[in-house]
Formats: sequence, C-alpha cells, structure tokens
Amino acid sequence: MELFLDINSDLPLYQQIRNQVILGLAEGELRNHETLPSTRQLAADFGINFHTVNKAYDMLRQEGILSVNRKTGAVVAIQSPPDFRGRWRESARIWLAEAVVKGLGKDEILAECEALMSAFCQPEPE
Amino acid sequence: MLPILVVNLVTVIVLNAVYGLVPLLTHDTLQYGVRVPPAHTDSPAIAAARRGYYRLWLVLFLVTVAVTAVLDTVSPPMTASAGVLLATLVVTLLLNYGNYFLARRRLLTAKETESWYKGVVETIVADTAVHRTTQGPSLAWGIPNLAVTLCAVVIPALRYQSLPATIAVHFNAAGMPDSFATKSFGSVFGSAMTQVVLFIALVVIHLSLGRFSVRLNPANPGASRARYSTIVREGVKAVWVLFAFINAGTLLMLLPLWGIFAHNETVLGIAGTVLIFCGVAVCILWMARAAQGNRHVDEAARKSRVVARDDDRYWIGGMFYFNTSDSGILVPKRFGVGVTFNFGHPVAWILLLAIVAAAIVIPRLVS
Repeated sequence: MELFLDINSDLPLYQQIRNQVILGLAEGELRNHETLPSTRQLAADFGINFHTVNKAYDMLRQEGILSVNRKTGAVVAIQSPPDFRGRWRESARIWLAEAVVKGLGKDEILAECEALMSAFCQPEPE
Repeated sequence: MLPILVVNLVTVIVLNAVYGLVPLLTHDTLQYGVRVPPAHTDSPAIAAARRGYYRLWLVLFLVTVAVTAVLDTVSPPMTASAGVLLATLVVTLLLNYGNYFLARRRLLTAKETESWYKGVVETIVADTAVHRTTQGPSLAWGIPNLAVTLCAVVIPALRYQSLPATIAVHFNAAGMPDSFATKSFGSVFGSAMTQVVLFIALVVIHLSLGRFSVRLNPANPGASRARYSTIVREGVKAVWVLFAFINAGTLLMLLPLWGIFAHNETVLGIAGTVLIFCGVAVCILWMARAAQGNRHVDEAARKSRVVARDDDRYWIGGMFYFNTSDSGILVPKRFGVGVTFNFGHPVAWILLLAIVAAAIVIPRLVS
C-alpha cells in the first residue's frame, strides 16, 4: 500500500499516516495480519524523523489497529474493544452535527455516507 | 606493467566519461541535482543548462587528457607517476564537479524565477510492501568473486614454504623487481586478506539491500518502484562482476610475487591492468543500461499536481546531503547512481569513520 503525505498540510504527518492506514484497511489495500515496515524503515523511505512514524504507530496501537513488538515488528492486528461502538457513535455524532449545522439535508448526508461506504470493504475483526 | 602513461590516460578518460554519462542516467525530475516538477521537465532552461554542461565537459575532457599526457611524458618514469595520477584525478574530479555546480546554479535560478513549485502539492510517499517485494539478485552472483578470492588465499598458502626469505613485492615498468620485503604473513597474504575483507563487506551489503531507503516519486510511484528495483538488481550484479574483474586482475599481477611466472611479470601486469579496466567498463555500461528504465516522465505524471517535495536545500553544494530530520542513513545520490551518506545523521558519521579506520588499520594489520 502506498502512503502519501502532504508536507504542507495543516494535518500533522503522524495523523496523516494514521488516517491512511485506516483508510487502506477499509478499502482493502491493507489487510489484517499484514506486516508494516519498522518505524525507522518507513521514516527512512519518507525521509522524515522516525519519531513521527513512531507517534502514528503508537496511535494505531492504542486504537487496536496495530500490534508492535520487538519480535514480529509492526503487524496489523485489528481488535474491537467493547466500548468502541459508543466512542465511535460520539465522534460520528459530532461529524453529522457539523454537516447539519452547515445546512446539509438528511438525504444529502445519507447519500454522502452511502457513496463513501461503497468504497469500503469490511475487514474481519479478531 | 602497462606504460604508466596509458594507465593514467585511461583513468582520466574513464572519469570524464562517467561525468558525461551521469546526466543521461538520472531521472527527468532530478536534473543536475535540482528537483524539477514533472510539468517543467521540458523547460527551455533545462535544455540550455544541458547544452552549457556538455560544451564545458568537452573542453574539460580535451584539456585534462592533454595535460595528463604532457605531465606523464615530461615527468620521470615511475617516481612521479603515482603523484601525477593522483593530481590529474583530483583536478579532473574538481573541474567536472565545478561544471556540474554551474549547471545546477543555472537551474536553481530558473526554478526560482519561473516559480516551478507554484500551485503543486509537495508530497512524500512510501510503499509499505516495497521491502518485501523488491528482490535483489541471487547471492550466486558472488561466486566468481569468491572463486578468485579463494585463489588469492590458496595459491600463496601452497607457495609459502618454497618462497625465499626475501621476496620481491614491487616491479618497475621494465618488469624488474625494485622493492623487496622479508617473507611474512603480511607480505605474502596481505592482498589476499584485503580481498577476503572486501568479499565479506560485499556479502553484508548484498544481504542488507532490503534496508536501504526507497524514495518513490509521488507523481508516479509505480514507475519509480520499478526503476528502483531494476537499479538495485542490476547494480548489485554489476558490482559483483566489477570486483571479480578487479580481484582477478590483481591476482594476475601478484603471481610473480609468489614465485609463479616470475619472469613474465610484464605480460601479467598488462593482462591484469587490462582486466581491471575491462571490469570498470563492463560495470559502467551495465549500470548505464539499468538506469535507462523508467527515466522519463510520462504524460499522466506530467499533469499531476502531486509532486515530490522540493528538497534542494538539504543538498550542500548539490553533493552532500545534510538533513537532521531524515532517519535515512544512506540516501540515493543526487547526481549519479547509487547511495550516499546523510551527513545530518550521527550514524552516518560513525559508519564513515569506521570505513576510514578500516582502510587505514587493515593494511597495517596484515603487514
């Protein structure tokens, strides 16, 4: 999977890496149990500091997307913690509320969601 | 030995040839060390810089070859030859670097005045699978080198007992021994040990290929991945072949030192030198062919707004990479094929010091 980082974006590089890994998983470009490069290797390929990649991997690990250890390196290991649905609903509520506030109608929002969802395939959780 | 004039001239010609060849091997988006967005690879400024570069290159070629020939002719044979060779090589290198520097400066000016990076999205890209999918060549490419290295160890080992207490270690242009040393492990096996160390170093580099940084072009990652893969595969093969030739040439020249064909040192010297030059020529042509793949920007990439980030500022003088924010220790060269150190990374300095220390210590240890 190719990860593209916009170096002049307002979004920090580690956040961009985290987002693209999740998008890659949802779109099937990256699969569960797939190995990712080590933090130093990925940073060297980007030409950035390894702390940036470390931060992204750390986020993904805390979110139950990645398993990182000395023996196996960084491996995609999707886990759904019990409180995930509640936390996700809270985030989605804010995003939807923002759309409503900006004047998008319910049908428009649902159509957008439908279009976005059509690009995703469901990864198998552990 | 070949007449020293010929050796010096051929070396200077090869060095100039490399500088003439390099601009024809680099990617369209990296002209004379300057990062160029794909939409500007056809800029008249680049064509003008190229014309200027090759005009001056031709002048430098003729001047350095002529000066080398004159210096070799007027300097006393052998005594000054090493100094002349070194001086002409250094001057040829510096002059060609100056030519590159001028072309680079012209392009940097054009890039700034024409705002080549205006309206593009500077992007960096990495492929999470590239280190798993890029296959280096088989280690079997090291077998010819291993065979020559083993010969360099076995032959002196078999001859050691029969060698006299004092052995010839250097022969003059007429093929007569002009330097002697007491028979010792160092004087007999010195060259063999250097070849063994070199062989081990090449195996380590071969096995570490997967760890090198892979810098892809965001405008067309697929093409740059294919280019990287070809250059790595063919480059490693070419280096193995180069060192097999160099070691075989050295072995031929050393045979008289071990008392084999002791009266044919002139012929062996010529054969060995020719073999080494053949290896250099084969390696250069091999690399030149490999670097042609995916060198040009295609139409889709030309229209892309997503381009590689402008990293010119990290290249001091267009030659030395210094980026403390880059975790890469070895990065692709800016002008040429292969890798160079990131001098902004402390480990690069440690590696560099280790190489220099090894180059100083190993020859002293074996002698």
